[in-house]
Amino acid sequence: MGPSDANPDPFPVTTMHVRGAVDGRAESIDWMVRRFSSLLVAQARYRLRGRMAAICDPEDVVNDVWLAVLPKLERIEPRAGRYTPVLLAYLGTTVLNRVNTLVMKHLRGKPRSTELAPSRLPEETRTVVSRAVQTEEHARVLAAIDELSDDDREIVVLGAIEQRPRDEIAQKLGVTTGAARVRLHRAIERLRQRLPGSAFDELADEPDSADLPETPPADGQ
Amino acid sequence: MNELPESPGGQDADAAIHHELLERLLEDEAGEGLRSVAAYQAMFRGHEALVERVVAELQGSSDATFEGRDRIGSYVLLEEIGRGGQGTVFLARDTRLPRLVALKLLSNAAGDLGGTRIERFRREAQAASKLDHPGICAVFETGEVDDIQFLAMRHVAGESLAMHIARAAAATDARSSILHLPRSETSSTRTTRRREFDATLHFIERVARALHVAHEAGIVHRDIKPGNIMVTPEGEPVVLDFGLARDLGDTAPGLTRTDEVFGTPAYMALEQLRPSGRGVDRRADIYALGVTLFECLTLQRPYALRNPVELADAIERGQAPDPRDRSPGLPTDLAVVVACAMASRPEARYQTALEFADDLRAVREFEAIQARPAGALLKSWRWMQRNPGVAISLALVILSLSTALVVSLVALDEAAFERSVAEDEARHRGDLNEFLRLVLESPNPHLMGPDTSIEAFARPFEQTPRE
Repeated sequence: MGPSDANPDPFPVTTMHVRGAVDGRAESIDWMVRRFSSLLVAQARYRLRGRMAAICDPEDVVNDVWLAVLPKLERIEPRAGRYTPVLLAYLGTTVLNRVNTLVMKHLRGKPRSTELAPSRLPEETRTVVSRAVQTEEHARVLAAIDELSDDDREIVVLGAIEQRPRDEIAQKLGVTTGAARVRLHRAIERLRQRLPGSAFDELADEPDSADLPETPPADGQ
Repeated sequence: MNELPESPGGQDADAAIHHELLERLLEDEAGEGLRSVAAYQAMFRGHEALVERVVAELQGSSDATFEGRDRIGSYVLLEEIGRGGQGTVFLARDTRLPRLVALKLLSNAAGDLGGTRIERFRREAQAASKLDHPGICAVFETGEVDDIQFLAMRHVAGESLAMHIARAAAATDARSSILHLPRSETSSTRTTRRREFDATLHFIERVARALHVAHEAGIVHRDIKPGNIMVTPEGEPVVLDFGLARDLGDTAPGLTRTDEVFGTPAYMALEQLRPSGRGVDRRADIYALGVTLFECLTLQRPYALRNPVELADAIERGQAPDPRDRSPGLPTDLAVVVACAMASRPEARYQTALEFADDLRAVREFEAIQARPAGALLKSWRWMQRNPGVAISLALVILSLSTALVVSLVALDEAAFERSVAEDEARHRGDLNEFLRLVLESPNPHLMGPDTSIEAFARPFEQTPRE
């Protein structure tokens, strides 16, 4: 994790815990899992709709994803001084790939297994995830996301959690890119008001990657 | 496919498309089976390489299982003819008997098959082997060779009913025949349509009779759908795939949890979509066959919904759609039969497949159906449809008699009038004669005396004063 961003860190707590998690500090891992698991469960629930719902459990998927992602956190570089959008993009894509892998196994007729290869993570990580999804905060986040309209929920999952490009979301929803941005902004604002202090605070007005320069300016250059 | 994104800082662009493709594949697998690579590439333009990789991976997994094998026990593998969650099916030649068989294989070579799947595979063999009916795919043999479970079944030539429906639906003429009956050069379109309609009803009726045999043996199929009904080249139905069948007499522990949902949602009854722990019985198969009949008649499924929860809500909310709304011209009785088979509550449906079959025959032969008692007028109408020659003759006789009666009555009336006139005239003439007789007789001296008549006759003149 290198100091590759010249912008001031608007969310130093997140940075501190990401770095703490990289160092294997249990309290940082606990903080990250608590902060982001609800969003990942909401994403997994969205992705495991319909016929896929019978294939695997969203919380199992999120558990697997943490086991896979936590050892690789050191690869994450902040963008515009923020870790959360980058981290969510990484987590969200890993959730999606994990779901895809389980569905492929299902289609091949092999029994699914949610066990991943052993990692260097502390054994208690599973317990951390289990505790995280039992909290009142987790229930509030899921309830707030569930209360969104279908369109808004879809745009929050795709735009805020998976951090997919806005033009891709616009194409999927059949609206203009500008309209997709506005709808995402409004949906996140509603969630911020419902859930003050949540990860959605760090997602507000997040510029799209397309708006960013190809190469971030180096320090002093 | 790697589960972790190559770059933690960005998205895996293919992941979302991959996910959409898997959704499609799951739907197809649960429905009419996987399509060709080209078909999926057409659906996901711009992602042809991804589609090819994913579909090849799925197909390769099956091929690799039996790769290099050209024989399973006494059976020589000829070609793969189907694949699904319950195994891979090969066309095979039985080396002991001069016959082709459909050999269903389930490999456990990797030791990764759960006991439940193997047990389910064996139960399919047991269930189907209990049944002996030309409308049910016969099981010849079951066994295990080199960790491969096999099931040798009758090879049914032909195509599934699903293929027939899809072809008819794709045809320009949406009302073309489901079963592609040969069209007669001499028969009129109306007559041909009637024959095709009858053939469709007769086909489903035979499926119902085959199902009744299974039900009587205590076997509930639980996955009746057009994809599991073969149409032989002779047009005969054969029910396939008892992989989800349940033997009601089996006391072994259940293979499914009470809240587990198996089958194809579009053809599943409410009690299957919303398991209540009471289990399903033969009436679930009757519902599924009702949906199949609906689809044969309209080339559409009754409910467009795919989500099992939404589907269950729709079924519970109201009555099944009327097939006449989508295929005007269907007989009222047939709509009643479809509605009865597809009733949301099992107790409102036909209680046996035989009753369903009998009503389909009744519709075909213009007889009274059991699903709803007919009135006297409707019964008469059906009798006339059943016996048009007698009905026409009878109608002509009645018409002739009626005409004769009317003519006779008119004639009688005229005669009576003339007789009345004649009698009046006769009476009048009699009165006149009597008057004349009296006049003429009045001067008769023999009657009135010698002078009386003269005097009497002359008296008025005498009394008149002369001028």
